[in-house]
Amino acid sequence: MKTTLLTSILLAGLAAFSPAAPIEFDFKDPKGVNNVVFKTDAPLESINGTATGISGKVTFDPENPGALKGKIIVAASSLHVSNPTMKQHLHGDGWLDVAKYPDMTFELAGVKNVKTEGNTTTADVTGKLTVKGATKEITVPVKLTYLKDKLKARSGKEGDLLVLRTNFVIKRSDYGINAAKFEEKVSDDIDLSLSLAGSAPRG
Amino acid sequence: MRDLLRILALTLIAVSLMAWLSLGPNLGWTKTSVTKWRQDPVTDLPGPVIEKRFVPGIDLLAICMVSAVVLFSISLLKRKTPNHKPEINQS
Repeated sequence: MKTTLLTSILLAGLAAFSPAAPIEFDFKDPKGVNNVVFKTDAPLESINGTATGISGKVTFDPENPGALKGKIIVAASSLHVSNPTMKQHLHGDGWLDVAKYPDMTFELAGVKNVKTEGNTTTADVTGKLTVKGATKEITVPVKLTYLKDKLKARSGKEGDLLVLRTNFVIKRSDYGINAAKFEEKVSDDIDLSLSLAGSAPRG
Repeated sequence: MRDLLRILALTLIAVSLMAWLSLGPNLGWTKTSVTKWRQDPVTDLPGPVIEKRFVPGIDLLAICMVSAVVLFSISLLKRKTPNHKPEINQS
């Protein structure tokens, strides 16, 4: 009895003083806030759109933010622009062919230039971006904000939140999206802004 | 017929211009939805809220203007209907 009690106290003590384990954050947001904004130039007006079909999991260690890993998935069919004809073209086989390539993914491969201040970490994240079946390794600047115990305020469950923000530019020609075509109508550069929050419920 | 086509052309210009001005005026393409942004109070992230709303663009306005010009041009091709005045018997 004495030994069991002593072991329990020792284990509890070890758990309390051991470094925090990496936490897995789920980026499927039931609130529908998570989004990707895309912008590209066109003669009459710039084409702006959003995508909200986001999922994927990212593992983040608050004690070691450089050990970030995971994958973010964007459902191609969730891409939305305000003009219905434009949306039809965007989803069609000439552009993104969402029926054949339903997912766009970003798989984290490495992290550099990690700087942490308080609960905010900035870093250059390298990963494999796959769009329309074409994969290219890119490095993007990422800002991560670790919100410990903030999940309850958002969904009523105990847990943490991880907010991920990034903004970068890709070339549609790199991913075979009407490469070298219609450049007088639609720019080759696509500006992407990701605003995502992942949740890690406890217990 | 001539007058009717001209009235139609003028009505089309007036109605389309009024609709475009009152619902916009949008200098871009016609939209069937509008994206509004709301801030998440916990994460501070802006989230899109897509509202169904028809916003006529410059493309729709141009179609209406071209249609009005076509109607007016057709009216020019139509012969003016001669006025049948009652003949005065001078005998």
